[in-house]
Amino acid sequence: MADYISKLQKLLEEGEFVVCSEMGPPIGADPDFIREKADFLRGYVDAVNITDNQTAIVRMSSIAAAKIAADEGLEMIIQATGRDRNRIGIQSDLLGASALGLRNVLCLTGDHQCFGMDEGAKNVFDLDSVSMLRAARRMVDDGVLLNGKDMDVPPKLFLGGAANPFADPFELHMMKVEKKIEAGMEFIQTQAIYNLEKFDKWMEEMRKRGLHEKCYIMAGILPTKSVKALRMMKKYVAGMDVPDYTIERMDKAEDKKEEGVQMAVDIIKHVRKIEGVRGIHLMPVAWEEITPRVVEEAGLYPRPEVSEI
Amino acid sequence: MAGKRKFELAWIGDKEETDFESIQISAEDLVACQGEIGDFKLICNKENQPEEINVANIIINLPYQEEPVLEKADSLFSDDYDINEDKPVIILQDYPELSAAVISQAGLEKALEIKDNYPDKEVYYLYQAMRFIEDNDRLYERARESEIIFLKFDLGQLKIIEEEIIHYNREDIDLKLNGNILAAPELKPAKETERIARIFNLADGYKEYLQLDNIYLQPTLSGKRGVYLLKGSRGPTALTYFEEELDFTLNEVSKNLAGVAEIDKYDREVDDQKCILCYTCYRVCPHGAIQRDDELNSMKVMDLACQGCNLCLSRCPTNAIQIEDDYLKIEGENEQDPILIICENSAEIAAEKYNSMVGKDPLESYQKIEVPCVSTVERGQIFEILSKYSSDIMILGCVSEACKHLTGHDRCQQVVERIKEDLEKLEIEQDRVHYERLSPRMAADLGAFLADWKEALKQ
Amino acid sequence: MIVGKLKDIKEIKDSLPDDIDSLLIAGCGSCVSVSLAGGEREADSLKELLNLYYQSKGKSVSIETETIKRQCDDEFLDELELPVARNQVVLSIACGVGVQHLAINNPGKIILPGLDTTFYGRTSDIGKWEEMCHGCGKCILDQFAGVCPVARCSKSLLNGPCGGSQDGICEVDDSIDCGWQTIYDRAEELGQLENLLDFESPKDWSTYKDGGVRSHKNPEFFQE
Repeated sequence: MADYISKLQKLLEEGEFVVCSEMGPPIGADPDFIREKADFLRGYVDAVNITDNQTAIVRMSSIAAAKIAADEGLEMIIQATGRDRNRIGIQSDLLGASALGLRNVLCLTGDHQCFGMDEGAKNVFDLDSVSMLRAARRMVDDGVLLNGKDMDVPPKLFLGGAANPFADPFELHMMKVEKKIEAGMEFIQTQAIYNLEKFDKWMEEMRKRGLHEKCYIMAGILPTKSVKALRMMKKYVAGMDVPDYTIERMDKAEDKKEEGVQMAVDIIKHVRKIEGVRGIHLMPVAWEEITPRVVEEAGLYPRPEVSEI
Repeated sequence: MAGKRKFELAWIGDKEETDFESIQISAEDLVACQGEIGDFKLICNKENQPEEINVANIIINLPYQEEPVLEKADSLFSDDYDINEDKPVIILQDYPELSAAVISQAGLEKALEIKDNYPDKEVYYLYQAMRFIEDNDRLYERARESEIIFLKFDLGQLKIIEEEIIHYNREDIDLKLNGNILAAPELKPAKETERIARIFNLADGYKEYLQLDNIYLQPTLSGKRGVYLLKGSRGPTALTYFEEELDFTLNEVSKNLAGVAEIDKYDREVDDQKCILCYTCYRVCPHGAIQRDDELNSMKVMDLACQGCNLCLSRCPTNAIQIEDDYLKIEGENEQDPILIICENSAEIAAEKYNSMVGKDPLESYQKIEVPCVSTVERGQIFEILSKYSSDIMILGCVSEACKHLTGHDRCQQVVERIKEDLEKLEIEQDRVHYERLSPRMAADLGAFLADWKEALKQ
Repeated sequence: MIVGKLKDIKEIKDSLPDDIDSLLIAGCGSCVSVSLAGGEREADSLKELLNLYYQSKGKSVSIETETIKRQCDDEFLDELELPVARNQVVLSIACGVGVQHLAINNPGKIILPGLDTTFYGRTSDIGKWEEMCHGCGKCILDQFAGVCPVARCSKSLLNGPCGGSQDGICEVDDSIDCGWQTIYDRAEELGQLENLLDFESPKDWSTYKDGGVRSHKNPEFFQE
């Protein structure tokens, strides 16, 4: 009898400091695209997110891409988004994912379609992240669909969500995190961290409310080698906090690549010491190849072997 | 009901002593204002019941809000300040922004008061600029003679280190002043200002005060006839010449009581069958001259309050407000001549000046429509003119902050921009409509300007 | 009330048939007049503009305007009967309801829309209107401190905010206030923050158009 729902869950429950990463599917139908990415991540990460039409850009679906990667031996985390599917579609997807052996799911509300190239699309948002987590929780724990119907075999899913320690105002967004945990969220992946002071404060609040014990928190790390990227994120990405000293540090560096790796490693070292942080979530935008190095230099290699759960 | 008494004057806010039969109403208690000059009805809250007070004139005399610039400092206006026996007194004027001139006076008086009571105490006076009104230049002389230490500063030379310590650093002087600080407070509009603006239908003023920056609204006039603005309703500089402004205002009130005439001979009638109570006229009227007629369930234009700009007429979505027919006709000898729509407050006056200077009417070879304000200009009217005539149209309005009807020049601009956009989209006639702004003194400019335009038209 | 704005003049012009010889512009004196878009004034100035256009193209088109109190009720349409009959095309600048009601009452006549109906809104300032209601059919304003999450949150979230809410502004556009910030602030003022912590079930959209095109009858008045 399986004690754990997924390998990721097992690692977290057994106290491992986990390393997750992220993979964006192709804007096309080529499975080899996924296989190549899976290749160089294997062994360096415990689980890999596969995004779901992120920023409303049409890409290969999360579940399909995740299955291809899972077949290559990776532990996958699929994403379910409220923007593109209604409650019928989402529940259906969760059943399909579980049937394909994909056990980890990140439940997201979803970026508005105005960020992508289909601004004229009708959005759905039948379920928000809270409702989605709640529905999934009931499916897993009680074997019941949202409409009350019993399922013959309930899905096995480990439920996660996103959180942003840098969104303002503080109280409003903290309310949302609490609700998601109450609804059944078991792990959190945070927005990319650059402002360590602010992250410390957020973790303090999470601990004060006892939320760090109800939910596994993974710190988001975005290794970058570009001053321009940092500036763009500071200016244009709402809810990202990129302090000036970070930009200055990268600006002054001679070898930007090295500095980028070092900066990521520094942040990882800092967050590792914070009570309540149970792992990291690496999101090297346009620099996925650096993942193995960062994992090594942060002293997180090799990754533990996980036998059957 | 007790005899309906009409007061000659109502004070909203602080009351000043006058010979008029007046009543004081607090801004908080005031709920609504109906009627017009000579016959306002102020609805007040009396223990949650409405009470109606009938007045002929209104002065809004709100106190300022004083916002302290430093937490631990006492206000310069306060009589209740701390004096610590061992420490010096520091008077801080013009921090962080220049204070109103009258504050120099208050500051000097305070400094002298302290020096008189504590002759051995060191008194420092920090200021960016000393403004002299009335006889505070003599105050200043006396202050210097009493050995008050004056230190002029630019903002870079002053740093507030801690709550009672100021670091003053200039050239060869480096002082850390530790003592009782009396600072000039920042003067802000009264907190009821927004409410009062809504009740009286006054446009948002300058820096959140009630009076717009406009040459026709000096010194204490609001856009609404019979309603005057003093002190904290006007702006921080209003404190400086308060006495003069009060005199002017009371004089206006006297004149009003002697009799007020309608602004022009036209009746502006609201067709109660067409009026849909959308309140557009009420909102656009810069003079608060429109109110709802409860009996007819439509809006009505108050004849004495109306200043005749016709913005209500030109904007009513159902054409419910009507005025006599012959009012906007084109005057001119030749139908081929270009058409000028000229404001009687600027271009018309400038043209007369030009005529008296040069002996020639600059508007001679144009077809003209004379209007009380270019807010009269309507979209449909312009398109109709463009259809019927072959020449161009030039609209001449007033320059910014010099529109007698406060918003007319900007309102016209909105209409003209929309007209041009539409003509461009349909790819027709886009260059035939022009809008320029003039002041009544631009006589020479007007002449040259029209000549240039005529040349351009020929090509 | 129903809020709309006049269509782009080029769009209106392009929608009129090439062989047009007579046009009736039908205005409406209710909602679209109040929202300063489709009333008598707009009808009249539209007529002048189209006149100017056709004149410049050397076309002869007779244009009439007629504005009635409302275009959504039968009795007012009587006034339009003759003008409709004597014109080839009707351009209605009423809201979508009015245009269709006119069409229902005038089968066989080309009725074109001159207005883009936008939303149910309130007047927030002279010349400015804001979307407030979606006609979802089951009002939940009591649960959200008087602020509608369906109409005022760009994603209609019942458990908001989303991650894109920053400093009270919606991720879709700087000019849009985050509806959930508004809900939170108002709930705080009213001491109702606890309510927001309660999980809100997904909405029953069957009372919305998702359940099928709607109609309803008031049994106190309607007689079969």
